[in-house]
Amino acid sequence: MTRLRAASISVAAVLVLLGCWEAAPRTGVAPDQSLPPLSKVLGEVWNVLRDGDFRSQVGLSAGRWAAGLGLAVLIGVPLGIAMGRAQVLRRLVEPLLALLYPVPKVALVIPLLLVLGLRMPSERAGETARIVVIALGCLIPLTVSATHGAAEVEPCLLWSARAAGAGPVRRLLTIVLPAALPQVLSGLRIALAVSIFSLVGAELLVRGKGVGAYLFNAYDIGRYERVWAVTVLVALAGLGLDAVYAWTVRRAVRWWEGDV
Amino acid sequence: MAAEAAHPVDSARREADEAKLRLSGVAKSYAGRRRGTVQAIGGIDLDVRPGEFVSLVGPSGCGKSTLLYIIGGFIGADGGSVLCDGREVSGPGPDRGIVFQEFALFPWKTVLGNVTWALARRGVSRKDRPEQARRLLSLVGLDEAGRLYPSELSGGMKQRVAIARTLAMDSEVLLMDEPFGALDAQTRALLQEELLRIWDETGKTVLFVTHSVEEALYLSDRIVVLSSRPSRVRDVITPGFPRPRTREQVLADSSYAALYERIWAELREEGPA
Repeated sequence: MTRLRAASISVAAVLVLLGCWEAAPRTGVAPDQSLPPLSKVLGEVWNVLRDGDFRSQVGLSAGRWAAGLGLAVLIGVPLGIAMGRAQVLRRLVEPLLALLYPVPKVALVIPLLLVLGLRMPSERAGETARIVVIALGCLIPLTVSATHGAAEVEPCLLWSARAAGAGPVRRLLTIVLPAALPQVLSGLRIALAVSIFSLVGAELLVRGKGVGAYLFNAYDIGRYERVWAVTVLVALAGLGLDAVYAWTVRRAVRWWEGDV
Repeated sequence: MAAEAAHPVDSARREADEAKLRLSGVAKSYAGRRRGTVQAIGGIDLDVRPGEFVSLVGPSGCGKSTLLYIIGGFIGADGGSVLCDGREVSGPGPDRGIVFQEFALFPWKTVLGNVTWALARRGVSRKDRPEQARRLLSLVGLDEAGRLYPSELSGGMKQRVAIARTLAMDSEVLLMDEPFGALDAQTRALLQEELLRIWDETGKTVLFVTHSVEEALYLSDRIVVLSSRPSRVRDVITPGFPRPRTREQVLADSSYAALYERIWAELREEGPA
């Protein structure tokens, strides 16, 4: 299959879905009020983007997103690399991650809020809880992929480095880290998606401010076009992040043979 | 005689001096898959002289590569000792460079980067590295490829880079673990010739693991035939083809067929381990 043909099949799938969205309310298959046709939603997207209130909420959400994802990267990647190279640590931490894995991390925002609320003002407790939930969600894919990346460094690379006289610190920094990088990056890609839905999920559960809260408010006051418009924007943000990721990684990791 | 008896340490050292590598009673066993231990290497004695090209052949699974890794210091032996220049090997070191079948290049570094990395480990100054790296790449016949990444190279080119990187360590001993085993026949023949030329120019001591009898005969001063597990030295053959030699000369030599047959007969007798 040529690339053009492959791409056109994918585009067709999206177009069919969007066509159905436009047609369903118009033909009466779906009630017009709760599922407005795509064209109306897109018009509302424009209105939302021009809304100053929305933009300030986006700023707030972006801050939480960056803090949560950043925290997860700072903890998860070093932890995973260490687990990949030290069996004892891996045996110690892996069962904990396995326990955490099936728990819907977003749901943890409520118990977190309860615990944190006892120790700090509710505003800060809410903020912390949302960031922690995002970080927890992203932590697992980042840690697991970094563990595999570091554990699967080809022994002959490390042997070559040892024979050349590279000590343990240099081997870690100049062999293990770059060799694990492709796996770490694929974990980051998953974490990017997780971060977006954890952010919005946490904001829907713990209202206040943020994109999720804006979405819920629109629902409360019955502005369903706006609900859909924000949903579309969240999806586009995720898609955009993924595209930026792919573009950056392809350039930054030119040596890598596999897909980014 | 009397002086030697009075200084047994000195005499031992002098003997070791003659051997670049001295293996005495090297043995290795593994934990078996189910239970117990499997003895892989059953006590190997071998001396390799400075500048000598020695090949190790043996039935598959006899632990040729394991033996090479023990000499490299990457894995420990259970018994016996390995001396390099008279010093006991206790770990990997820049005195013993190694070339693997799967090239083991750093894929995130360019060809030049791979070689300069090894130069840096040896303490070559930053400003001398590019020049020396280019010289080494030229030695292995890669003048143009410096800026490429390993993923952009053919297997033969990758192995040339790996050889250049190992040469950059300037170790006197070169351990080669079936270095041409992953290459097609034509590339393989070409690289064998190149290796002989490089060996001739640099005077390295080479210990070369292979499963190809032709390769061993063409390249080596001596061929060590190992037995099946637990492996021991079964036979040592000194082909004695004149050097510098060409493949045609070796193939046309009157003793070639008999030596080939002898080694094959021994390998057949040992069977797969």
